[in-house]
Formats: sequence, C-alpha cells, structure tokens
Amino acid sequence: MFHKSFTARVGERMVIWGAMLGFLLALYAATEIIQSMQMAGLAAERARITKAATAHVTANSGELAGDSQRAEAGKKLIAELEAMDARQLNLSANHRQNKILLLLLTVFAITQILFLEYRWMIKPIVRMAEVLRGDAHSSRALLTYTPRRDEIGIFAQALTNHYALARKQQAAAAREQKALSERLRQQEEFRGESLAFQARIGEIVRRLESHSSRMSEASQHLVSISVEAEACAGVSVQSTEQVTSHVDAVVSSIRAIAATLATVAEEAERTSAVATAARSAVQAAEDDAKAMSEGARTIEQVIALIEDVAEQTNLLALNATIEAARAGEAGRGFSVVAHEVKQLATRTSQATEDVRGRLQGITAASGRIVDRVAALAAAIEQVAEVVSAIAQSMRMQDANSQVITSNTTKTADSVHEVAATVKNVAGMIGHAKQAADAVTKVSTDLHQQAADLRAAVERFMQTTERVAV
Amino acid sequence: MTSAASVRAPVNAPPAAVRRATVGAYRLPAKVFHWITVGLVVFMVSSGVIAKQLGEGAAADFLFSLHKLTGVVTLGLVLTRIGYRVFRSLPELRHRPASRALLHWTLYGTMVLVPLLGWAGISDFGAREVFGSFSLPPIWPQGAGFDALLLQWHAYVAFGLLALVTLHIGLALQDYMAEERAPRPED
Repeated sequence: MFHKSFTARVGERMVIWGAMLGFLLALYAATEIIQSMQMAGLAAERARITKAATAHVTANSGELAGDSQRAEAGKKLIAELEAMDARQLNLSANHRQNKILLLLLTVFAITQILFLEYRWMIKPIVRMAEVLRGDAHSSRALLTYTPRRDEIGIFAQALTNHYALARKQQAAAAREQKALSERLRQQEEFRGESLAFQARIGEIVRRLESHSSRMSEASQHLVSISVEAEACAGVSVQSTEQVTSHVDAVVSSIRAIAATLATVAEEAERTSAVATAARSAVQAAEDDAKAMSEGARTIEQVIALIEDVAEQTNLLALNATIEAARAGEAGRGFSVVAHEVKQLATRTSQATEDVRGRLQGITAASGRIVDRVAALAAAIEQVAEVVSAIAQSMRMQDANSQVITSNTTKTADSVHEVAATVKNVAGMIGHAKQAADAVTKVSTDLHQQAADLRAAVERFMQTTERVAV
Repeated sequence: MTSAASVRAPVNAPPAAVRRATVGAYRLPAKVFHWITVGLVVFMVSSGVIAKQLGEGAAADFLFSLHKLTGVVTLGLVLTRIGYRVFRSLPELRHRPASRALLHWTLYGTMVLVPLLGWAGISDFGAREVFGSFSLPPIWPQGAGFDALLLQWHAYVAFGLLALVTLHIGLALQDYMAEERAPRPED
C-alpha cells in the first residue's frame, strides 16, 4: 500500500505511530473541549434559572400577585430545572462513553506500540550488545535481523560483516603464527644439525690424524718388506728358468710316446680288417656246405622215386610173365620181353642202392666240413675280438696321451708365463719401494695437515658454541 | 531456493513469496479501495465521536446526517471491495499466512457490521431522515425498543474495529520491515 522505498525505518514508524496517537488525542481533546463548552452553557442556563427563581422569591415577599399565578411560575421554574438536569445527565453519559472508549483504545494502541517496538528495536539492540560483549554463543544470532530493511537490519548487517572479517583475520593470523613456528622449528633443527655436523667433522679429523700416523708407520714397514721381496724375487727368477727347461724336456718325451702309440693302433686296425674278411669267407664256406647237404637230401628223394619205379616195373614184368604163360605159344615172345624188363628193373634197383651208398658218404663228408668250418669261424671270431680290444685300448691310450700332451703343453705355457710374471714382479717390487718412500713423505705431510685441520675445527666449534649459547 | 539460503532465512519472517505479495505488489484498484476506506473510516470515527459528544443542536444534527450518509457510502464501498476480493481473485494474496487472512476478513466483517448496527439503531429510534430532506430505508422495525442497545454496540464494535486497525498497521509494518535485503557477504 506504500511506495517501494518505504521500509518501515524507525523514523517512518514514529510518524505512523504519531499520526495514530495524535488522531486519538485530537478526538479526545475535541470531546473535552466540547464537554467544557457544554458545561459552560449549562452553567449559564443554571444562572438564568437561579436569577428567575430569586426574582420569583423576591416577588413573593414584595408584591403579592395571587397564589395561583405564583404557583404556576414556580412549576415552570421547576420544569426548566428538571429539563436542564436531564440534558446534563444525557451529555455526561455521552461524554463518559466517549472518554472511556477513547482511553481504552489509546491504552491498547500504546501497549501495542510498546510491545512491537520492544520486539523490533530494544530486543535486537540487546541481542547485538550481547554479541558485541561476547555473551552470545556466536554471531549467528545476528542472522535473524540481517534481512530487515530498517536501521536494525543495517546494524545487524554491519556487525555480521565485521564478524566475518574478524574471523577471516583470525584465521589468517593463526595461519601466519603456524608458519612462523614452523620456521622457528626448522631453524632450531638446522642449528642442531649444524652442531652435530661440526662434532662429526672433529671426529673425522681425529681419526684422520691417527690414520695418517699409522699410514706413515705402515709405509716404512712396506719399504723394509719390499727390500726383502726384491732379494726373494731374484732367487725366484732363477728357479723358474730351471723349471721351464725341465718341462720342455717332458713335453718332447710325451710327444714321442704318442707317435709310437699311434703306429700300434694303426696295426691293430689293419689286423682287425683282415679278421673281418676271414670271417666273411668262413661264413660263405659254411653256407656252401649247408647247400651241399641240402642237395644230397634232394638226390636221396629222387633215388627213392626211382626205387618205386623199379619196384612197380618188376611187378609189371611179373604180371606180364603170368599173362604170357597163360597165352601159351602166342605169348612166348612177350615172355622174353617181360624177362628182359624184369632184369632191367633189378639192375636199376642195384644201381640206386649203389648211388645211395655213395650219397651217404658225401653227406657224412659235408657234415664234417660244416663242423670244421664252424670251429674255424669260432677261432676267427676270438682273433677279431682280441684285435678289437687291442684297437680300443690303443684308441683310449691315444686319447689319454693327447690329453697329457695338451696339458703338458699348457703347463709349459703357464710356466713360461710364471717366469715372465716373476720377472715383472721383481721390477714392480722395485717401483713399490720407491712408492713407499713417497708415501712415507706424504703421510708425514698429511699428519701435519690433519693437526692444522683439527686446530681450525676446534676454533670454529668454540666460536659456534659461544654464538649458540 | 537453495537449501543454504533456506537455512540462513530468519525463522520468524514469512517466506519470500509472502513478502512479495504483502509489500508493493498490490494492484491499483486494491490500493485505491484501501486508501478510500482509510479516509472514510477516519471521517466516520471523528464525526461519530464528535456528534455523540455534541449530543444536540444544529451542529449535532448536521454531523449525524453526514455520518449517516457517509456510513451508507462506506457500507457500499466495503461490500464492493469484498465483491472485488471474492470475484477478482488476487494471486499475490494466495500464499499469505493464515493470521493475515483472518485479520483482513475480520476487518471486512467489522466494517460491514458497524454501519448495519448504526442503521438498525436509527431505524428503531426513528431517526432515518438525512438533512431533513429524505429518509434512509428502514432495516429494523421502528420502536422495537432496542435502539439504545444497538447504538451502544455500534460504538463498541466501532472502537473494536479501531483496535483491529492498529493491529493491522503493526503487522503491515513488520512485513515492510522483513522485505528481503541485498544478499549477505560470505562468511
């Protein structure tokens, strides 16, 4: 209902409250003025009646105008008085009602104004004062008032901003303090480390000193040892030269043995080849003997067949003789032929018997040949075995002798190397002696330097301790 | 509205929609009705109290005639306003708190009741004529004997209406005060 710029600030509120109370007060004043004017009018009326009554009473005492007239005048006066009383009663009743209602309304309005202004102004001020004094739990109590558009809202906003800024500054200060303490701690740590470092340096210098003195002793010792070693090295060179010549002689002997062994092995190989050839020849003879024996058995079967034929021929001749006899004279020629056939069969049978006897002799001879050939094969086999054993031994011997030869050669090489090395060592011992002399000088110098360093470090430590304390 | 903003919002302030509705968002007819009603109520109270105080005489008669005439006008205006509120729905008032709505409808009801009580009182008493030239129509039987009581309650309810008006002013000021400000700084 008001313009947008109206934000119910304290001044605007006071104008509204003033208008409200002023209106009530003006009404109240108007009723009071009207009432007093009415009272004045009533008083004038009363004075008029009183004057009339006085005149009436005076007339009553002075000039007597008759009872009836006087009574009428008195009644009129009384009626006027009553009417005036009624008016007064009516007016005062009206006045009372207006007064009571206006007062009640004014009291209500004032009570409400006090209540609202307490809520709107005094309570927020008290709360803000609590926050400022630090009694409130937090500045968040102000957030109730920050949305307001009047002066309290402005104050609450300003206070909230102030506390936000203060919180930020506190946080920044805390961070800064933390960083500072961290820096102090680092400095302390660094100082401790530097003291420990100085102590370590002192320790190292002390050790260096003792080491340099010990080194000086050791180098002197080394000089004396290297002198002895030089002498020993001379002897060693001579010994190794002798060993070298011995080893060379051994190598040449072993090489001769190896050559002999190789020859023997070749002979054995050849013998073995001969034995193998003999064995294959014997095998062929054995096979031939077996084939012959087989042939003899075949011939025997043929002889058996011929015998069968001869027997049947004999029977046939017998039958033919019988038939010729039965035929009589006509069969006389035929009987002669049958007799001849019978004789032929008998001769055949005799021939086969003779062949069989001879064949048996052949069979027995071939059996003996087989036995002999078998014995010969066994002998050749033994020879071959022996020869191959010899060849194997020779091969092994040859391998062994080759290993020995190579080993011996290597030994000879090593011995040569040893001799060269011994010579080198002899030279190096001479150098070592020179170096030991140099070390002795250097360690003496180092000892001096360590003593100087210790003095410097002790001075530095005394200085830093004074500074640290 | 984000949850953070709702946490920061003060507990006793109405939501933003209500504040928009209660402050500066009324339409022109509503504003015209409001301020005419204000003027009429002030005039009616002043004329009523002073006429009652005068009680008799030509000035009192003149003021009473004026009071009656203006009262009828006020009654008509308030009824028109109620009709406007009922039939011309105002979306900006939809979300206001129940206490504000109750107060407004009580004010409207009282502003109808007070003229009716006065009119019934003068009908009973037999003083319906205005400036001696015409009479208001009776709304109550003449001489029923309730005139004193009716007119007394006319005054009481009128002052009750004034008490409600002071309450209305206080609550309106609170709503103006609680209008949203610029956003707070980050803390």
